[in-house]
Amino acid sequence: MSDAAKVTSLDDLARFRAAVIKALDELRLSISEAESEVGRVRGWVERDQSLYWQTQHRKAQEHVATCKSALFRKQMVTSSKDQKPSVVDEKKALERAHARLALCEQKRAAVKKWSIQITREEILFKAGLAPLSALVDRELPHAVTLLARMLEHLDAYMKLKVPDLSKLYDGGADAAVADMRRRGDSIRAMLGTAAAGDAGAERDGAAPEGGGESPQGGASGSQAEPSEADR
Amino acid sequence: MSVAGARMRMDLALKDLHLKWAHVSQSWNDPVSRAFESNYLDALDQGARLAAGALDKMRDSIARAKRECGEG
Repeated sequence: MSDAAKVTSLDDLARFRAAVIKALDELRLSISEAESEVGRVRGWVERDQSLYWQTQHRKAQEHVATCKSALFRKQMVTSSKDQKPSVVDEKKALERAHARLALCEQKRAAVKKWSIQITREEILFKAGLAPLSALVDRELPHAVTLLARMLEHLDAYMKLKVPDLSKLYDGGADAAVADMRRRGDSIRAMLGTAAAGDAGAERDGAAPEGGGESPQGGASGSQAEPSEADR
Repeated sequence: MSVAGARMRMDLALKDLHLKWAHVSQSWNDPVSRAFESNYLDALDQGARLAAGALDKMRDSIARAKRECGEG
């Protein structure tokens, strides 16, 4: 039948359930770690790098000013032979200071751009993870529960006690017959005793000199001998 | 763990789950197992594909952000 259940190994099913639980944990950890990393990067851009390049920009401005002063001082100096001293080094230093200042301005602009962009991309990122997050938070735990219930039911089914009828066909049958015979004897004895009591009562009625008791003590004994009337 | 590391962990978890599923399919193969595959495993694959795309894009964005905002 196409709609029949077919499970041939409960151990395999139990191992698969354990694999689902493990995958669930791994996926949950992946999502959590990825979201944390994105949060850390956003914080790095918005706070750390913003502050860093702000400080670096101020320092670069100060350095440019210092280099300009150094160049100016050197240009004002007159040597003993009325010759102008070389200002090549000062000019190179000033160029480097300007380049650093330009870099700082460029980085500050990038930080400003990324502070907005990383937030926007984080929203898209979370949207992309949302279906998997929903599966991990709701659907997969449900799948684990479903597998657990299946295992419970199948296990209970496997543990069902079916009476072993084959015992009737081997040594068990003799024991059962013996037991039945014993019960039959007992019942017959009781019936015999009761019959003896009745006969005694009848005899007592006919011969009052007997004192009203049966010779074997009435109906109290289960192994009573037959009375005279029974014989 | 980095976003790339998270992607790798996710891929490994799904690969392992599919291996286990292939194994259990040999001893559990009926309408309930097919519904299980359709409802949970196929859905998981779809969700993982979307997540992988998002993780890859974010990995690239983080690399660019670090390059453009960092000192280097």
